Amino acid sequence: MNVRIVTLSIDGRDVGAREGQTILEVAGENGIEIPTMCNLTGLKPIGACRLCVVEVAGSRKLLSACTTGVTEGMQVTTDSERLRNYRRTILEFLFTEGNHTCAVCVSNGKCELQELARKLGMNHVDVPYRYPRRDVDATHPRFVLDHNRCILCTRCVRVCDEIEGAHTWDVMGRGIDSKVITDLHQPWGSSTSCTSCGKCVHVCPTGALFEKGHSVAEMAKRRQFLPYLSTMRGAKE
Amino acid sequence: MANTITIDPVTRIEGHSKITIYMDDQGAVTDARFHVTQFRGFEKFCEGRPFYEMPALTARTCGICPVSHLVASAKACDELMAVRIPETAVKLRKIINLSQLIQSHALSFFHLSSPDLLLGMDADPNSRNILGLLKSHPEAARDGIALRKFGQSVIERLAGKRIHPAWVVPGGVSRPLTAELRDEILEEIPPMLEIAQRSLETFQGLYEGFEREIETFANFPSLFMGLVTDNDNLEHYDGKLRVVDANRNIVHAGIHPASYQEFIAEAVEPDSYLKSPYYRKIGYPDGLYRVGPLARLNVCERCGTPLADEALRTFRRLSPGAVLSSFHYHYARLIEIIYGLEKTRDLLREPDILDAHVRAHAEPNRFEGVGMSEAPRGMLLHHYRIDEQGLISWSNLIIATGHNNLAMNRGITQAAKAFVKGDKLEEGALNRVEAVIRCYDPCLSCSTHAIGQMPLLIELRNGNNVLDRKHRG
Amino acid sequence: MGSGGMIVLDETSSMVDVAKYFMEFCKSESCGKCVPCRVGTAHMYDLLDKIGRGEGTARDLERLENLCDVVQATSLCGLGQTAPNPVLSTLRFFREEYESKLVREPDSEPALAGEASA
Repeated sequence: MNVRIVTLSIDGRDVGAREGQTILEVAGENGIEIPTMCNLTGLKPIGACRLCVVEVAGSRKLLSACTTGVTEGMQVTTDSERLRNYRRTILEFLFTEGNHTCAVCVSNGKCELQELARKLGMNHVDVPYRYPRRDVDATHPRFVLDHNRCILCTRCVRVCDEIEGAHTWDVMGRGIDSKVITDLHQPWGSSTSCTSCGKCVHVCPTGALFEKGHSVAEMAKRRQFLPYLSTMRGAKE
Repeated sequence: MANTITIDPVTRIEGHSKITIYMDDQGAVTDARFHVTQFRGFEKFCEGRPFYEMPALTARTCGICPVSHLVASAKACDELMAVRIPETAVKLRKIINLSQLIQSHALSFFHLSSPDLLLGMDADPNSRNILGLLKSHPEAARDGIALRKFGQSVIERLAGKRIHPAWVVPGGVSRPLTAELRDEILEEIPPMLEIAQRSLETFQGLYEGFEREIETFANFPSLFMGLVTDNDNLEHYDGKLRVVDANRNIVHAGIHPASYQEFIAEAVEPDSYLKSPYYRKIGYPDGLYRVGPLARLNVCERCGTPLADEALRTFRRLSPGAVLSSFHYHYARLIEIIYGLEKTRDLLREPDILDAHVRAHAEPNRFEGVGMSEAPRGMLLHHYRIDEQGLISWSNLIIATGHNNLAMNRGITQAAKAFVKGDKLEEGALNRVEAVIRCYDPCLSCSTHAIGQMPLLIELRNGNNVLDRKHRG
Repeated sequence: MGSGGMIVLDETSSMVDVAKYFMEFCKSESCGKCVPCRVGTAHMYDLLDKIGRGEGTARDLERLENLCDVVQATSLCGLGQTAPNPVLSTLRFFREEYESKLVREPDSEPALAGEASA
């Protein structure tokens, strides 16, 4: 296979990359960390959370690093006062949109949202909490879905579709009223498509999806299966 | 009821509350009321949550005694799962519950109440606090701090966190005890026992100077309620509920926690968010009962550990029947600290205490569960109902301070009648009224507590006219 | 807004309400995929509503302007990127209408993220 190499600069550093790679991948290979939430290696990037937005010289708009491919001579800025402000506000959006009570959450201390808040130095929230009334679906014999903690990253939707091939999960509604559903908005426990494989639970970045029988801070997510499975599927197709 | 004195907030207690003292035209006290002015709503917002979250969720009721809620809640969850948790887990839960008892009793006695006892009820309020005590009685203050620190650090080392640990879980505890930690704690116990005994001796030499307070600090016949073991010993984790009367005659024994509703009813007063439970068989308000350290010692036959039993024998000499003055809650607290230390030592010496099997796993198997334990302040009860999914559909929490509500109200009325006179506010008199409340160490579900710096406004009113006003803090 | 049509309003129309009207449209048309548009339009709508009711503070107006910037700059598609436009243009030309509706800031406004800490 013939791979073309492109050169570009990220935060003033000249780096080489293979054509077809995303800014996020190349930055990661060069030790430059860009915050992400919806992205997960092994699943198709969708550029939905917008936390990974970067400045690219010559582009009026900010671009999401997870979905933008590198090009020859590209000049990327991943960190600036402006970007930090945007990322923080987006993070505040995620916290205020649902009901995130870390103190009593199964994922406390093991949560990607919480960890990102720590990394980005979010010590208070400026936009008002929305306190939506949301349900808990505990009908599945092994797993629980707590909509209060869902940030709609759709990792569960993608892993179920792309890797497991069951496509049990989907998103219903629109805008601020969107929510993830199983089958055609049937209780998870009555889903006929769900294989109970648990992949959705383990890719979920927060405590929205968890295994039953776990108390506070006990739900560690295991993702080792994902790169392996996605490579295997990629080879087959 | 022409005149009213309001003490708001009550200082050196845990939480927010106020006291209103009503007087007639002649300036004699007619009534006094204790109001809890905060509303929490825990029972409501637990609805819809998975039952597994309840220990951690309800522990957030309070930063002073989260462990007590953890224990009662986990016991209720054990009932929902219908499991018998491993014996070692029971013992470890008992140890953490006793550590909570020791640290809370130390806080109540040394930090909050001993300023009144050692410096005097009429001492300058600016120094009548733990900081003043550090200057005038440094040894007592340091003893108190050391005891509390011991309790806190056992909790921290067992559970990983001093406040709001999540170690106690439905089905047991999440991690077994290590041999190193056991030996560490065992080594720390003897000096703590020395402190506890020394403090008890100091108190025994002191209380005779408080004759009037003993006589009037909620000193009346009432029922007492508390848990005892199968052989009638003092118990804080398991056991059956027992009710005795003022003569220590058994009114009812062997009450299973799950049947509490047959014995306890709750009345709601319009002026307080604190419910007023009473003994159902006698009715409201005569079914007044007391819980907590004093009640536990009145209810049990013996402590079951040598030093505490020796202290209990001396304590029993105070009265042929039950010890009735709430002033002696302090005394009882010190005996319980000794018991807690001895019992922790005994439990740590059990051969199976290091067993790695400390947790039972199960689905919910029952729709209803009741968990009861003795919190530092008295019997604590968690009662849950769940739906088929294991989500909480209804919950009821009866907090120790609630049981004592009626007794606190009667107690402050008694003390106000004895100490508050006329239309002039005497600081020392009002402090005595507050001190009655402090005897019960009420935990008003809030981690706020002041060390003499909380602003306190007391007004003596005649209709809308303020006769006298005192501001301190 | 969107179609290039022209809307004629007389001076009795409240510009805050006009902006709120358009924001309501954007909020309900947001697909919900990207965070800034999904959550940002809802927050902007709430702030416009609060200011319109005469309960907004100068701090709220500042918040609103910051949200406009974030949503415009970071949204995934044209809907989110243009959603703040009616707010920004009414603010550019009729800022005094917004300001006349503000109330004095309370002395302290606690907005601590207690929930973000362990």
